Amino acid sequence: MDAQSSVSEFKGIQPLEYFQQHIENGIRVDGRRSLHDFRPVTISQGTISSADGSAVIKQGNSVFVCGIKLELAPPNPNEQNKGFIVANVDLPPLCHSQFKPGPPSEQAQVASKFVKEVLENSGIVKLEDLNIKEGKLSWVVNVDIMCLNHDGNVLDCALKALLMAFTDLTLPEVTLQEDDEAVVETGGKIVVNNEKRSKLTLHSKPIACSMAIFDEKILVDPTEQEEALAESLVTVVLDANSGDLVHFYKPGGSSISRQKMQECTGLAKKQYKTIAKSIDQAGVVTKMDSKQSK
Amino acid sequence: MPVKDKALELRPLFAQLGLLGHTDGSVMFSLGQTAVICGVYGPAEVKPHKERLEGATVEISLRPPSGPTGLQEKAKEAVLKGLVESSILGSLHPRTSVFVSLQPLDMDGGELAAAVNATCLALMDCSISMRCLFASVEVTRTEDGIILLDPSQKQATKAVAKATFVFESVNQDVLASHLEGRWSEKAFQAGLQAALDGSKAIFQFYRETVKRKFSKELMMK
Amino acid sequence: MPAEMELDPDNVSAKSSPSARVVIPGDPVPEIPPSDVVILGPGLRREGPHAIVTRPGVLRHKPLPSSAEKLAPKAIYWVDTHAKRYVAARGEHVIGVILAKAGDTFRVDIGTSEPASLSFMAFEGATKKNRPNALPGDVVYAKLLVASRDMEPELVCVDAYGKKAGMGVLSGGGFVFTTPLHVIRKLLSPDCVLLKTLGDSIPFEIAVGMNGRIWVRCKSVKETISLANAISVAEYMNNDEIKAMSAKLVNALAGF
Repeated sequence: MDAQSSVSEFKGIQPLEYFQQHIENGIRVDGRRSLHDFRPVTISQGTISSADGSAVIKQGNSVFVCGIKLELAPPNPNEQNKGFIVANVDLPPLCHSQFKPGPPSEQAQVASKFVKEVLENSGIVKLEDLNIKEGKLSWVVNVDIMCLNHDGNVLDCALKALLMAFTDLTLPEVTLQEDDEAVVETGGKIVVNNEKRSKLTLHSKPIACSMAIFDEKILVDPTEQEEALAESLVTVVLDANSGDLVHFYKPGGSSISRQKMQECTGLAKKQYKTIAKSIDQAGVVTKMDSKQSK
Repeated sequence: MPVKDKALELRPLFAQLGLLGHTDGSVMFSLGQTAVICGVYGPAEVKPHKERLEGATVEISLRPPSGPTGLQEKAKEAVLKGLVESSILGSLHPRTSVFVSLQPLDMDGGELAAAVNATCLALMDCSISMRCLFASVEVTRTEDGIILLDPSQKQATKAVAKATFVFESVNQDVLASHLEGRWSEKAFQAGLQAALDGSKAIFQFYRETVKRKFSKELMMK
Repeated sequence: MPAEMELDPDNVSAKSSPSARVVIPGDPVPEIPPSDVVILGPGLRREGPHAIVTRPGVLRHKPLPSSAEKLAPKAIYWVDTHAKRYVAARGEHVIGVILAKAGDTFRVDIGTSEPASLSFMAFEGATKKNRPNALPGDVVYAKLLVASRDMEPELVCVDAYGKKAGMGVLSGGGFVFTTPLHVIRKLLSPDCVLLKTLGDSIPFEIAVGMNGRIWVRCKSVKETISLANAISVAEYMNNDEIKAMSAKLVNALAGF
């Protein structure tokens, strides 16, 4: 028996032991040299021409695309000076065989809820910024995040795609020609100038770092296989601008000590700087950043 | 970190075990004005497509007090499922289902915490084998950094950030956490410590509740 | 943090006096020394050297007669717990309801997570030609021959000698009702006087299943119902209360 086939047999027959041996030696099954390494991230922005803002991110074999479409609508009567953000994460059957056609899977719903919570917690977009005329007209920002290939770490990738699409997003100039009650209903007096577009101010830069806990060891950026074998999963979201904790998401799984929690936060802290850098290198530096650096 | 001592007390706890006749275990649990009813069936029959050979299948159903089930309930169900799976000894009952049904009655802050605690009590009433118990507390932080433990909706109006932690009973480790709003690392640690102290009171309450249930049994012999 | 720190004062006092006490899952049982050979019954498990409680209830123990053998267990420890759901255990007698005929077996509901199977041949005097006269809906009193968590439970209505030994279809009327499992254990405990006291004044037939089902039959329906009620309410009564209750019941039935 040659070495190649015995390795693949070992992997097939005893996946847990195969995995354990890698981790004990401080390397990852997909070839990463350290337990705390990220998979290479590739980002491209503005890939969807019909969207107002879009991004595709590839992290290892996980591929996510995020598109943002804008709509105009009268604001909520209770919050006359605010706009809306509608975010949704879709895990369609094409990204992994575990997802079946039909209503969104539990994982997709949990991811959608997570993205919404991060949007709220981080205050990345002030809803007031989406208001065009108080009580009359506001932007509705429809954010759709779709997974094209699922190889673990849905939350990190979804959030990165979202952030990159937001930095790509431009709002067309809108003018209301007459200050008339009926304007919004009829829609006739609204002029949208698609030529003159402006960026949306982003008030924070939430960056997620997911970790899988396995045998008391922390694996950063787990693949789908690692997620399935891990004892528990933790996602720490930090704001790269202020360093604040935006989310510490741990949905059950085996328990972790407070010391381990701090270790996770520490690792996330180390990671977010690298990620923030790679995101900035993707071509776009938010206005917020350049101001802060001065 | 300025911490008001009075702010670090739980609201009154109440639990009545076994109030539903047809479930295998049930509880009505309240945390101040927040009340929830929880019923557990298990180990019960499992649908063939959900059958697992290595352990029990955990299913959670959480209904809002009114209206259809939304994303919020689904997210809470996912957290509860993770908690139940990690705390029961599911491998003792392979090819069965453990079904937990929750119905919040009154929402006055700490809804997730109340649902988690009710689930733990109902599992105990059902007498399913567990490796540990779990207890959850909500903490909030105001603008000026005051940490409030288990606030009511009214007390939480000034809060800028909320966090719900779930601890297990053996090592007091964290089983689950859920944040709302921003937390600086220092405030987060203070909140975590406050929640940990609060959870000890809940574990003590669990013990008293079970003692009450078995008090007649002890007296008989 | 050492687990012992979390013991409440009542538990610590229990360490010195080994009387029964209420425990909850996750509690350590310090009175079981890690070096001793003991039997851990329901509600306890070993985690490393320590015994840990897994189900809430009353911790009880019984010393076993000392033996010359070195590895003979010294005592048996278990947790008396309250549950409604039955989990099949080998050798226990249960009351089931026949759901359907499937090939050469009956499918029988005994309250577990899946129906048990009962072979046509597992009745007294049954042969390939002489099939038992049982139909779906009939109530049977049977013994668990196979009860493993990974397998379907299997029932028999005969003992090791092929005799029915009181088992089989429960016919001729009667009434089946369910109680929590600890009530069954109480009824069957040698200390419990309930069935004997009632039997002194009212003649009745009874089958008690460990799965929480009880079948009773008296001469009249009135007596049957009274008897079922008497058993249901005896859950928390001690022997004196049971005697008082039985006397009252007998008087009421006689019309006083």
